[in-house]
Amino acid sequence: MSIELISILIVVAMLVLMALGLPLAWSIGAVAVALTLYLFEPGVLMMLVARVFDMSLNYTLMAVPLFVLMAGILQRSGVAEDLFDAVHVWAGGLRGGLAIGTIIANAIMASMVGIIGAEIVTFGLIALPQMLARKYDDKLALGSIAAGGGLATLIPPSVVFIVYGMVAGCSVGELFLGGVLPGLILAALFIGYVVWHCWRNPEAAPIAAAKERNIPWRKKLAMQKNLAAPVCLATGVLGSMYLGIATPSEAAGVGVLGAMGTAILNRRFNWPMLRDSLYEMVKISAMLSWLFFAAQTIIGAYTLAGGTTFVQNSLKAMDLGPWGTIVFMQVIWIFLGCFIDWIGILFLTVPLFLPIALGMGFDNVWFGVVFCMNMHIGYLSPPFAPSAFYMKSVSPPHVTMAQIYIATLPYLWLTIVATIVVTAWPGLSLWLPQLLLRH
Amino acid sequence: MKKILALVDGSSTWIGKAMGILGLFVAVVIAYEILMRTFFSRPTVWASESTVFACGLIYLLGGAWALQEDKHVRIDMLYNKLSPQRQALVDCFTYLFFSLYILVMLKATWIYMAESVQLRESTTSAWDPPIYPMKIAMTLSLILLFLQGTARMIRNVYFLMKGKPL
Repeated sequence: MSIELISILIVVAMLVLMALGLPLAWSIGAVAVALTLYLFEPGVLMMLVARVFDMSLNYTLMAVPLFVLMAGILQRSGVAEDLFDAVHVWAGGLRGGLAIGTIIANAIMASMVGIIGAEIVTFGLIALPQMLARKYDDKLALGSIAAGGGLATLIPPSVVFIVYGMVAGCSVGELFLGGVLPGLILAALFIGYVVWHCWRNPEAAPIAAAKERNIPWRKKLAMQKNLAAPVCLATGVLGSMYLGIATPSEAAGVGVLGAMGTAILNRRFNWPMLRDSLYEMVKISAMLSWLFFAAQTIIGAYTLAGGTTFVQNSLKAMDLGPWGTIVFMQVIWIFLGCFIDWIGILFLTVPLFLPIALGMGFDNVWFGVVFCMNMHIGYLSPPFAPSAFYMKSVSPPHVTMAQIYIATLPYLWLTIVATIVVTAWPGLSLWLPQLLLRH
Repeated sequence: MKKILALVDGSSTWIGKAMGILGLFVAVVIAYEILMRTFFSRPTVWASESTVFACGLIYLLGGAWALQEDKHVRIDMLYNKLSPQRQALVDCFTYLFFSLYILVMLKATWIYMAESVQLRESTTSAWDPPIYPMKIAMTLSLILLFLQGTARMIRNVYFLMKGKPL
């Protein structure tokens, strides 16, 4: 069978199984196993098993359960409430102040949490009821939380960067730094949109009551002490990495203990909350890992069948030029982002695309940041929009999926704009890593 | 039948939950290792491998629990629009592919594991812990996944035949 036909069959078979509702991990794995049995002798299966086994003992992968655990504990520690209060007393007097505060609090929380689910669920529970009680427009309230939560991916630590670094073989520390400026740009665009939207539609965000606005300065400043714990935690986790004391996986471990410390300070620490966080860690990291395992099997089988060379040659044969190729890859990412989640896209495309991009002289870290921006688009693009799913899970029952999709649409356009900017100016993602790490 | 299914559910859940405590173990060991290395210049030989092993156990043995709680991500665009009966029917069909993957992997992993156990294989690092128990864990994880997936299938068949959940 020719490699062209094999490639088409793989894609069709995976899509059919996924469309039938078989979880992604089993869909990918079944196709990989069937391909191996059909094309090769059974001995090749041992290679797949060894790939899966090595993956389960991957050192970098360790950061995933630890950051998930840290996020789980923080989510239950009351940090997000404090953060939200401390930020929104300043923005409270502005029109749309709660929405602006939500995005800023999300950005700060993102420097401690590396998964979008934790952010959206937390702020969905804290900020959404406040905004709806203040008669904020549903659209503004839902959109600012669902989109703001996505910042967890760009602002370090970020699980997407950890897994990308693992697959691409580049420094997770540099990736983390690379994501900072793009993350801030995105946050600024989101805030700009909220301000503009409230200026155009004043009724969308009723201004706070005078009593709430005229909080004395001293009281406002006193509330800022709530920021101390989050700031210490974020500095500790990221600082230990950049000072070279700890690897990203170790920094995540330190973060877990730090999060527990914060919960103890807030008097929120107890066995049920720790137990729930641990259970959540097992389930989420097992789910992610079995996807990684399946991806290992399909990549192993497809590479052996000559698929990697085939895809690379076809891309080269299209003769799009360096930038044309990069744009083409992003179109594929955005398209896939509408249907599958970032892990699947990362494992299936990055091993194929990265060598081509590197061969054309592009930077590994920049490529990672661009990938992450595209996944950001994927979070928000329907029908498979993880941000919207998380948002739905904490919204009042009257909120429909369609409403959430519409609410996040403006942020989706802004993310696309930011992605174009970050792609066109590699300096935005490379300046910080060069300044701090590449002496 | 009900008892067997409950046993499968119970063992997946219990083993998965037990893995939770390993998360704390890993965090504490990491903190200890950083402390010893940074302030006492006495790095441990065992911290890195023991934490990697603990995390490996979390991923492998948590898989069946995640399946039992239906946490493995799927694309639900079409699937969610189906009636419960249709979903059960489609699940019975896709179960064939699930078991193809798990059983083929299980067979290969069994050989992989048996060789390792026979050799009493170790990691050959400075600490040199045995690595074959991890391969036994991988085999066990596939068995648990297969049992859990099959329990799901049996429930679907019962639901299709009797029109009520088992």
